[in-house]
Formats: sequence, structure tokens, C-alpha cells
Amino acid sequence: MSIPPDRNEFEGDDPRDQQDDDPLDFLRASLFGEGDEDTEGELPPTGEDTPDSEAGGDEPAPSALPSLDDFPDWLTDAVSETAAQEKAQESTQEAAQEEALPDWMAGFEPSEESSPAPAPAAAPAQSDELPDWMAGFEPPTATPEPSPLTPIQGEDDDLPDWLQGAQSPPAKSEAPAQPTTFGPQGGDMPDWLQAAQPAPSSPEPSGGVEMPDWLDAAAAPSQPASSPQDDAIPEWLGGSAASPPATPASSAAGEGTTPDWLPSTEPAPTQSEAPAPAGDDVPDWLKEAEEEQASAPSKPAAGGQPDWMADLGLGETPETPSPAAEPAAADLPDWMSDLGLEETPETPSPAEPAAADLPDWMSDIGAPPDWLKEAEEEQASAPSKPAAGGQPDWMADLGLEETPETPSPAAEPAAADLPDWMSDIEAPASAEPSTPAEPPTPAEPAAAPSVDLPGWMSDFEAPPPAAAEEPEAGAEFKEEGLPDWLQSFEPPKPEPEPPPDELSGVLATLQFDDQEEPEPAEPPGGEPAPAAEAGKESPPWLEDIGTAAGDVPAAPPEKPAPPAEQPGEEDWIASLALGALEQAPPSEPSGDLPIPPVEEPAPAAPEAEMPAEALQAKEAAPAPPTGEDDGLMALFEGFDLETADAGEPLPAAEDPTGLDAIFAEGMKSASPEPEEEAEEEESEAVRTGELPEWLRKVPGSEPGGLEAEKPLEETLSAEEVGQLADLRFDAIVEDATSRTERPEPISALKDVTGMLRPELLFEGESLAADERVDDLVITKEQANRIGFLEISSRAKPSTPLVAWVTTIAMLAAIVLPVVLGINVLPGPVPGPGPIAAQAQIDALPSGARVIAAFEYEPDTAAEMDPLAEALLVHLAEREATVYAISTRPTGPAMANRAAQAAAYPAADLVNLGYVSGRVNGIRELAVGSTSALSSPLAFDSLGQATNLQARRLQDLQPDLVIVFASHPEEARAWVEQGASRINAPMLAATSLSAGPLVYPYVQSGQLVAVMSGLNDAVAYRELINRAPGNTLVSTWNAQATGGLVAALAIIVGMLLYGLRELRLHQERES
Amino acid sequence: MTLSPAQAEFLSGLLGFLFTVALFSYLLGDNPLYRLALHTFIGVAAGYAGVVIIYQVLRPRMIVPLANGDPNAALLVGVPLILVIFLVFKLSPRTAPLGNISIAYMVGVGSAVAVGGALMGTLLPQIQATWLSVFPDTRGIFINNLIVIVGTVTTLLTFQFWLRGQTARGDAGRGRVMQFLATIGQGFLVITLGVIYGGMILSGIAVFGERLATLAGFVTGLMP
Repeated sequence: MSIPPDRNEFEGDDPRDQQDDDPLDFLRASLFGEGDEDTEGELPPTGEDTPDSEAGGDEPAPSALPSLDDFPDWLTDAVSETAAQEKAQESTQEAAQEEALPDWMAGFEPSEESSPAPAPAAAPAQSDELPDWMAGFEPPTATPEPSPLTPIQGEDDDLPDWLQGAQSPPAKSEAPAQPTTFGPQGGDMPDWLQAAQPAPSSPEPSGGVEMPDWLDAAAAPSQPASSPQDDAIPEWLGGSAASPPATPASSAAGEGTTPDWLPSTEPAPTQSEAPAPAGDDVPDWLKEAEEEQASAPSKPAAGGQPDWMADLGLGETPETPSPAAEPAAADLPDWMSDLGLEETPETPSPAEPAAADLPDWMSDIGAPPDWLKEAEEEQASAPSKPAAGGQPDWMADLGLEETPETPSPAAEPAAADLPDWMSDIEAPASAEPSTPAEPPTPAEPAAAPSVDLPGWMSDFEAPPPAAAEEPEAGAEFKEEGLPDWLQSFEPPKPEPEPPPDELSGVLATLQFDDQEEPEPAEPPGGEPAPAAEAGKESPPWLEDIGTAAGDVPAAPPEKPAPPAEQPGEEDWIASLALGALEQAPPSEPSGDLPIPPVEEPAPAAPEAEMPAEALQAKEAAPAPPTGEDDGLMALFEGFDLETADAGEPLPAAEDPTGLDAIFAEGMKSASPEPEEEAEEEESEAVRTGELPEWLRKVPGSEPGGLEAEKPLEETLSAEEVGQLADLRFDAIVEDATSRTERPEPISALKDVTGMLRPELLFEGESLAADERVDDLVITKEQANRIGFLEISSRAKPSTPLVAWVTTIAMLAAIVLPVVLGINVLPGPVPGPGPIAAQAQIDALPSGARVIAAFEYEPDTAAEMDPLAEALLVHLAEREATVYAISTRPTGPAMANRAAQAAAYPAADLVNLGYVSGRVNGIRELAVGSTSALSSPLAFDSLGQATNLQARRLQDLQPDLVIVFASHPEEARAWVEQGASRINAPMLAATSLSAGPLVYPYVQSGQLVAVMSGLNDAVAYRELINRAPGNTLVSTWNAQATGGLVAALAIIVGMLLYGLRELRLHQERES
Repeated sequence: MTLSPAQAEFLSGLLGFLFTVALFSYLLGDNPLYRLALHTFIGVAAGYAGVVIIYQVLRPRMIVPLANGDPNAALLVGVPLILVIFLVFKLSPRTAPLGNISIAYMVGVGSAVAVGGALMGTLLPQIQATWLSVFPDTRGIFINNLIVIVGTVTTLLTFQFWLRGQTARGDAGRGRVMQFLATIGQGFLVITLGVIYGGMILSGIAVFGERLATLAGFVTGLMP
């Protein structure tokens, strides 16, 4: 949005400028009633609070309005518009401003009729410092002179459209009570604002184009007399657009044009018209607002002002200060302090000690905002303007707390604390007189804020809302153009009951429900919308706020405070406020929320009595008619506005925030008996979820978190206590000690049988255990094994005897036949081997060639020679030529030895000697070698040529191959490599041990026969009828008897050891 | 000096007797006489083998071809000669890698020959030999075939290690049928090993008897 050039019209003292520049003026005016200090810092009452608004309409607006920078937009708009309504009498130039404003901001533009006041001259300079978007909020210059329209318009060029409409009318000392009207700028306003903006009846409807509709509606001139544009202003904005000046005549003139809701936002009546002690329990700001509304019979704008806007502007009674709000405002957060209460330095808050324990954020919540405090201060001490110091900067800039008679000297120190941007807003407002009847002394208050506040905030300076506005205008505004979020401020339903006397700050302004206009003035084109409709349209959270605010008027002294928990409350703010309000008895000051209990500030009530009274009033207060406005009211109920009303100074030195004191006082002052039930309910409600998660977890929000810390075990659940106990050192140590006493787990090897060391069974901790562990570890089976080993160890000495007996038996069996020649056995029975061998040799032709491989050595010669001799003898008979060959070096010697023993003819024996390579040599013999090299068959064992032309055994054309092998490997090698290549039957003569491994080749047909051992040699000799020699027979007998003895020894040994094992088994069993 | 056959026989008989007694002395424990006889036999066997190799391998199959000047023979003999030289390098650790070439050649060729011979000369013929009919014509062959088949199959099944069940508590094992067959195979193995072991014992007894007979003959020969 572009800022129209006429944005600076809001600056300066010109009420019209204020209306144009600060769209929040309507809210500010409605909140604080332009001088009604009781309503400062509180949310504006609803438009139904017509009595207050009307009463406040006659009263001059406070000179120092709370700054609107911390206000939400909706609120600032309302405030500014209220202020504009107050200055609506001077808003003749608003038409041009409306053109510059956007549509939605147009409603905030002061109507020309209602805000003819020109913008201050110093406004352009300040607006230069502001960002564009905030230019519209730039406070008016400190110069009390009304700024002319032209420089304001020039300054508005930098402002966006929406901000132009939102620019709060600067506080003007010259025309403080002139309401700000937004009517002319409704062109830029959104529709909903345009509807709320007063009709551009001004002769200068320039700004109405750029104002948004909703701002146009809000910018409707609250000055009924001088703003004919009220017809165009929506109802809700009509009330807030421009509060009529303090002069009743002007307000009466504008009554017909302002919307219905505008009178509700009309500034509080002047002190003379609106008595300060409107209600004992009602906060000051609310009371003032109500008084203004009530005692402003001549407010012409009351009918056009929406209810909530009327509330915003109502109730500001300068005579009714709210000292209790001041200390709270010091601790309040900015946003809360912005909501309303003026800081009254003279009224120290009784809740200080409690507030000191509060966290910052909670203290911020509990304490009334600065702007509220300021507003209250202004309302309370309008002539002396004490609220200037406690007033938040932005509120001061807004000029809502403009004290007409005496600008508060405290405004300067408050402005000093403000940030720059806030001070800019604050400056001119405080200098402006709140009421036209009592023109303020603008020099002091306006100067200080102007210095501290940035220029853009000076726009927020609300013009001194002097004239009460018509609260009825708010109804139409709500109906027509009020957005949802703003409708929450609408009173749910109009309530005919009189507005509370003690409305405090923003709460009063936001309270729409209770401040109902009995005769809402409908703005042109608007129809009186009931507050309930507006409340329906508003968002939940705003509804809560609205309901909370609406509860405020329901809790004046004569009205009991509404129940804290409303069924319609959904907003966390409402719940927070309720939770804070309803609990805090003295006995249990630290409730679920640090917010002090509900206290309806009674201006005249003493400090000590205030909380109790407030609680009583709250308890006695009937439920609000709408039941929706409890949340916001509850939010601010905790504010100790009474102390502010009492005029006690703010103990800023002791407690800078002041919230602690407020809370402490509120908690202590709250009577426990009547509050117990409500407190329990509140606490329960807060726990159950009305509080947001982040708020519930904040320390201090829990009961007891403020004053005294409960024991940890009490605050924690049983499970948490148990967990904490487990984390303690003692518990850990105890657990460690007890762990050592626990049985140690046994590893997976526990089931493994056998003797295992405990280290293998246990996992380490009890390795140092003594023998007792063995009893636990060794199983019965393992014990039996141990016993067996012990018995075996005892039986060892008997072994040598058996060995000796066996040895002697063997020796006897062997030696006797050989040495003594005792042949026990007659001779062996020939087996299949010798028989087959004999047949094979017998089958040899005469002169056959037989290849005899002597693959044995001297170690086995005793067994192999008889076989060789037997075969050679037979071969000799067959006159076969034997080609002896061997793969062993000693083989040729063995061949010679066997041939010699067999008396084999040397001519028929060719000892080919040794062939190297074992298997490879046999394969070479079978396959043959290259012709380039000499054949292994070429030389005999003595190195002489054999004259054989054969290069392989196949070439010899053997008739039989006899393998004499002492080991099965040699026989297998010959079978594998040569049996299939030599093409001759093969016969194997092996040792007795190699025989079983060579027999399979007989089964496969690769061998003709296998002869093994002396038994076959003897048998073969008997087959060929060649009697073996004595030596051979003796040896065979020795072998046979030795074998027999060995067999017997084995059998006896088996029997003996079997019997022994049986005996051991019996011993183990026994 | 030339020994007569009787003297030579006596001398050989005497040496044989002495060395035999020396070796039998090992029954009493390790003693120098036993060691002397042992080293003597090892030395004589090595010397005899060396002489045999020189006279029956190197000289006729390497030196003679090289001496003949036949280039083809020399070329063919040169390769084995180089491999032999490489084998000599195995004596030194620094030159031992060169000997690996010869070793690799011999191992490779030997393995190839052995595997081929085992496959064609043992495995296939034995499988074929086991492929017997259990319904033979005659009773004896039937029993023999049955024994061969059952013995072969069960013995092979003994060496299968497929276990069933859980192993945590030692419950794993063969199935009942498999366990039964394996047990039969183990019986065949026991019999076979027993026969081999018995044959070795008998061979030893034969050697021992021969030695005793030699000793007895020598002693009786000395006796007048």
C-alpha cells in the first residue's frame, strides 16, 4: 500500500489529523476515553456501554495517550480511531486523507467533519524517520499547535495506504479533545474498515479513496456535529472513528452521523460529567468509560460508534486515577502494558512482593500494561497528569491518556524508558489536553515523548479524545465491516445494563458486551448490529479477549465479577487470564498462573481492601449476558488497578517491573475461603488445557511457583520422583552394592559337560571365589568323571606287568620257532592269491618275458624275499626272462638278492636297475621316452647296455608283470600307470600289511592275483612243489605263532580291560 | 685284498649280527650303539642310492648324451640339467627361490600324473568293481557282492557329516537310518584297519623272525 500524501494529517494537534494519521485513534479514544484515565490501559468496552461512552464523550481526552505501537493492529486502529472521533470536530480535512488511505484504512481516517484539526507542522519531520509501513503510526509532533493539513498530507506520501489510515491522530495540545475521524480516507481502507469509517461528510473527502473499507468504516468521524460523513461510516467504526470533542454540542451534532458503535468508543466524559467513582469494583478505566458513556447525553456520535469502539474510548475519567495499575504497568510486558494501564507513580502496587517472584513473562502478563496504567493514571489524575510517567510510551504517543488539565510530569521519565520508536509515538499525546474544556499544557508532556519516540510513532499519538462517542455505532460497525478478528471485540449481545463505572484500560475498551448502548446510534447505511453478532464473527481468540473485556463492566462494584471460566472461551489468553485471576488466595498465592486474582479496581478503595473487594465483586458478579467476554476481562482482572487508583506511586526503584508487587498483593489480598472453589476450578481448568503448553511448562505458572517453592517430591509425580530417586548418588551406590550380591549369571558354557574352570562358566565377577564355587559348578556327572580319572590313575602301576607278559609271550612265540626250529604249524593253506599266481605263471609260455618290479627295500626284505624267491623259482621253471626294474635305489639290489636266492639263471634275468621319478618313472616306462635320450631300458643296474631297443615296457612285449611291493602305494602306482598300458597281466606280491589295500585291484580285474606275506610265499612254494627252506618255515612259524600270540594277547587284553572297565563302572555306580 | 666268499659271508653275517643287536638295543632305550647302527644304515643307504643314481641315472641319461655331442640330446638334457641346478640353489636361502621352479615342475608333473593315474587306474575301476549285482547266480558271489556293496556304501556314508537337530546341547547327529548305515560302515572300517594293523604286526614278526633266524644261523654257524 502506498502512503497517501495526506497521511501526516494525523500528526499535529489537529484532531482531524490525528484521526487521519493514526487509524488506531478510534481504538485509543475508545479505550481511554480521551482523558478518561480509568479506562486507560484497558480494552475498550463494547459499544453497548453507551452510558460510559456517552459520559466519557463529554470529558476531555487525556493529554498523554498510551502508545499504540505495542497494540495489535486491530487495537491500535481502534484506539486511534477513537481519538479521531474525539477530534472529529476538527476533521474537516479528512476527505483528502481518506483518498490517500487504502480502503481498509479509510475507516480509520478521521472524517473531515469530525476531525478538522490540521496536522502538526512537525509531523513531516518525524515521519521521515519512520519506515514506510509505520509512517502511518507516526506520532504527532510535540508541538501543541495543530498541524495543518497540507504538511500532513505531504508526509503521508511515505506511508503505506493502510498505515495512513491507521495513523493515529497526534496528540494535540490545542485540540486535544477533538476526535479523530477517518472518514475521508475510507477510500483506501478495506471494505470492512470503510464500513466502519464515518461517512465522508467532510468537505474534504480526499482520503477516502485510499482507505480500505474496514478502515473507512473505522475512520468515520466520531464527531457527530461536525462530521456529516458519519453516514458513510460503518457502525462499528463510527463509534471509534472520531470521538466527539469534549463539547457536548459538537458531539450532539455528530450524533446523527456517527455509526452506532462509535458512541461506545467515544472518549470518556469529562471529569465533570463522568464521576470517577463509577463503581467500586469496576476498574477505573472501565468506570470512566462507562461514566463517559453514561454521562454523555449530548454525545451525538454515540449512536454511530460501535460498542467496542465506544468502550475503547469510554470511561476515561480524568478524575479517577487508577493508581494500582501503575506498578503493574511497570512490570507488564510491552504488549500488555500497551493494552492499557497507565503507570501511576504515586500508587505503589500492593502486589509487589508477589510480583517479584514472577518470571518476566508472567509478570508481564499479570501486570497491567504500561499503556493501561498510563491510561488509568491519566484518568485518575487527569489534572495533574501523573500517568505520563507510567504510561507506556506507545500509549503516550497515542495520546490516549491525554490529561487535559495537567499533562503529567511523569510522562517524561516514562518516555525516557521507552525505546526510541516508542517514544516517538508517545510524545505528543501526553502534551495534548484530554478535554477541550480543559486544554492541556502541551509543552511538557509533548516535548518529552517527541524526543524519545521515533517519528513514525508520533503518528500513533492519539488526539486528545475529549468528546464521548456513541457506543451504539459499534454495533453497526460489527455488522457491516468488522472483520472476524475485530468482531471478537464486539459485544456478543447488547446488554441494557449500565456500563460499569470502573473500567480499566483496555479491558474496558475491549469489553463490548457489558457496555451496551441503550440506544445505539446507527451510522448512515449501517444498521445496529447486536454485539452478539459481532462476537460470533470474531475469531475465537478475539472473542475470548472480547469476552474478557466484556466482563470488566460486569464487575463494577455493584456488579459481581463474571465467572472466570466461560464455556465459550477458547483462547489461551482468556484461559491464562482466568487461571491467573481465579486463583491466588493468600494461603496459596502461587496458583497455576502468576496472574493475580481478579480484582476490580476501586478507585477510592484502600489498597488492602482492593483485592478482597475485587474478589468478592467477582464472585458476586453475575455471569455476563454474553458469556463470551470473560477471557480478556479475566486477563486483566489480575491487574491491580486499585492501587493505581489510589494514587500510590510506582515503586520503580525497588521493583522495576512492578508486576511482582502487583501479583503479590493480589495473591495476598485474595481471600482464600471464597476463592477456594473457584481457585480449584481455575487450577483444574488451567491444568486441563486451557493454558497453552508453553505456558504450563513455564516455571511459576504452576501452583506454588511464585512465592514458595514446594518440595520437589510434591511437585513431581510419583513416577518422576522415583526416577529422580534413582538418579541420586545414594541410590546408585546402593544399587551397585546390591548388584554385587546378586547371583552372577552363568554363561552359555554352563551346560557343557566336563571339567571346566569357573572362569569359563561365570562371567568374571566371582572368579575370586573359593572352593565353594566348585560345589556349585561341578555337576554330578563331572564328579563321576573326576572319580574315574582318579581310579585310572591308581590303576597305572598294573600296566607294565601286562606289557611284560605280552612281550614275553610274543618273544616266545617268535623266538622258539626260529631259534629252536620248533615249527608248531605244519604249513599254510594256499589262498586264492597264490593259486591265481601259480596259474598265471603256469600259463606263461616258455621263454616268456616277465617284467618284475622290485619295489621294496631291505627293511621289508624278510617278508618280500620269500615271495620273490617263490615266484622266481617258478619263473625259472618256466624259463622266463625276467626284466627286473625298480623305482627305488635299492630295488635293483633286492632283485639281484632275490634272483640269487632263487638261483635264477643270470642269463634270464635282466636287471634294468633303477628308474628315477617313482610314479613318473613308471609312467615313463609305460609310455616311453624320447628317442633323443637313452631309454631306461638301455642300461642295466650295473650301467651296462642291455641292448634292448625297447623304449617302453610295452615294447618288451612282456607276458607277465610282477610287482613286488612292500607298500600298497608302489603296487597302486604300477597298477594305475602301467596296468592299462603294458597290455600284460599283472601280479602283485606285497607285504602282509599292504595286501588288504591291494586286493581291491584284484576285484577290479587290474591284478591277476595278489600274494602277500610269508604265508603266501610258503603256500606258493607248496603249490609249485618247491618245499620252502627251513629258515622260511621257521620264520613263517615264528610269524604265525607270533600272530597267534598277538591275537591271543589282544583277546586277552580286551577281556581284561573289559572286565576292568566293568569293575570301574560298578565302582562308580557304587 | 680279496675276500673269499666264506669270509665275505662271515663278515656280512657278523656286521649284520652286530647291527641287529645294536638296533635291538633300542629296547633298552636310546643308546650310542643304536645310534651308531642307525647312522650307519642311513649312510650306507644314502651312499648306495647315490651310487645307483649316478650310475644308473645321471651317467647314462645325462652325461652320456652330453658327452656324445648330440645337440638334440644335449638340448633335451639341458632342460633337466637346469632344473637340477636350480634345485641346488635350494641349499641357500637367498637362492632358494630359484629352486622353486624345479620343485614346481616336479610337483606339477607328479600331481598331474598321480591324479590321472588315480582317476583312471583306481577310482573308475573301483567304482566299476563295486557295481555288482546283488542277485548273483551263486551263493558265494552273492555274499561277496553284498559285502562289497554294503561295505563300500556304508563306509562312504560313515564319512558324511550332515547333522540334524540343534547343536547347542549336543543333540545334533545323524538320522536314525543314516546313523545305522554309518555304524555299519564304521564296522567295515574297523575290520579293514584291523586287518592292516594285523598285517603290519605280522610283517614285523616276519622281519623279526628273519632277523632272529639270521642271528641264530650266524651263531650256529660260529659254533663248531
